[in-house]
Amino acid sequence: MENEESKVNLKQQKFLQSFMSKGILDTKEVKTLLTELNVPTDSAEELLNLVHSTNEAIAPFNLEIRKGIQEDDGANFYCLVNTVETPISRLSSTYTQSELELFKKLIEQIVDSEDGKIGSLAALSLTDKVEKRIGKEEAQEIFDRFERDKWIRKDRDGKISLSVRSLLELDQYLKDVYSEFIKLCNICSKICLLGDTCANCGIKIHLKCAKSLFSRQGEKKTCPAPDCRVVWGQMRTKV
Amino acid sequence: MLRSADLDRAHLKIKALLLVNPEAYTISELPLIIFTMPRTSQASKQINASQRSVTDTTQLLSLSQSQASSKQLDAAELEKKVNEVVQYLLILDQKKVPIKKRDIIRVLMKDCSKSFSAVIEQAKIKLSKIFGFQLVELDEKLKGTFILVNNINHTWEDDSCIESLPEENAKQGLISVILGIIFMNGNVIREEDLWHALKKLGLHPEEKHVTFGNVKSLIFEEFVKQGFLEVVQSNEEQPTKSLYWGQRAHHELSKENALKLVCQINGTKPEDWLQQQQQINRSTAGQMNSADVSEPSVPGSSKPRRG
Repeated sequence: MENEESKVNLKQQKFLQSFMSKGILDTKEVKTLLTELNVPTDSAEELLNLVHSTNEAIAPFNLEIRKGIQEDDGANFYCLVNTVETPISRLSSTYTQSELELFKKLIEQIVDSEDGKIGSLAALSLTDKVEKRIGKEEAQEIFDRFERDKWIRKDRDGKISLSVRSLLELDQYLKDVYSEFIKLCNICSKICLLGDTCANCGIKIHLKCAKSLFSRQGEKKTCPAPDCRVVWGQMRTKV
Repeated sequence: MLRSADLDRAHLKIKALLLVNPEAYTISELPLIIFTMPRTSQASKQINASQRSVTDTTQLLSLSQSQASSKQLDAAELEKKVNEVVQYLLILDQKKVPIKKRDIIRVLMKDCSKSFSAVIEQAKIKLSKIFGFQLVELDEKLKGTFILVNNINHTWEDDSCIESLPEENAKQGLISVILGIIFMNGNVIREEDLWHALKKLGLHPEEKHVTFGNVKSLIFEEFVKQGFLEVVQSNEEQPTKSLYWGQRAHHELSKENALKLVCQINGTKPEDWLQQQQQINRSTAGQMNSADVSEPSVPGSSKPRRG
């Protein structure tokens, strides 16, 4: 009896430790982890049970494993997040206060942008806005670390956007602080930063969500909003 | 004793390995980095939320606590305290510096310090059962501090499931090598002898290293502070420093694994090293004793520490 229980404990501990060290796992990494734990990789139910039981155990410590979808390509990710910010969690020393401040400014710019991205030069110039002076070289190094730790992503043109890890961890923060500016995707109802906006009514949809919508619609791509229905990318002509 | 011929052979291998694949020599995988971002509506709307320092934090926490200095905790309060202490330990352990009991009390248990042992006992159980971490209380020079040691390190078959930052891996590689050197040298080594060995790996006390920076400070300050190494200064006319395994090293790395590590580096077999094997057999039977700390090779220097 005890042996069985300790086996289950060990499986859960390893599952948790993998998340603690990596922060975020893509589907391939999840499969590798499940194989390591001798859990069948094709069983969605087993994975869900493992996530659920782990979350039950770590909830008292304000931790949770959440599933998220990458905005641009719809890829699935699992991520360990802090559910609440407390004075204790603020003692975390991975990033300094001024680095966090820089990140907040970055978020501000990204939320403000039309397409959820900002160029790397624009990002570097954010150093002028923070209280404590940060040199451009130092700022670049900070952004590199954000990218390495998977909080931001750079696309082929070097434009910076918030990663799925940031969206999962900061979901509540974004909704609270930027409630007037943040748009939810009309199709999946999640926060939409990287996305397309309707030229007519202003609703926003993820590129991936748009893709599946438009492929269903066929020839004519129209805005999904019931009051709009204008051809996508166009404005309604005034009568 | 580690002969200079062995060191010569080893240095080429270690050099290549440390730079190319430091993960091969990590000791325990250390508990993680939990990233926290500023959030919650109240905090974000307050102006200087992100500038709160640790002192402000303690004030904030004590505001919500009663003024009584040693309150007795009921079951629900105890549970809540235990959870807070577990979070605190997980986060503070990121720095790898032993966590002080008095800091835990000051930050979290100002009004109920009498319940410390009960709380820490419960925290220990939770850390072990849920996370697979062992909460260890240190003693002697580091008395009254705690570290987290990973219980399940050895059980991983696929290392890619656990990721460490490259800088951390490199440091782990270096500390493993130093501990190996100390072990093979009879569990103690004088500073000069250590540098003699490290110079062959491209590490110099006066030069800045591309990965490690100020190596001397890394070894004598950071590693000592973290509990990996212990330094003893002799009181003679020409004071020399001697290095021993620190308490954290004893908990995280077994002598058996240290020997295996050294053999991997210099291409020998554990069975070749009789003295070390004897120590391993003794330590699996009981505690390490003074017989294990042998005299350094140069006459007229420091005495064994334990006696």
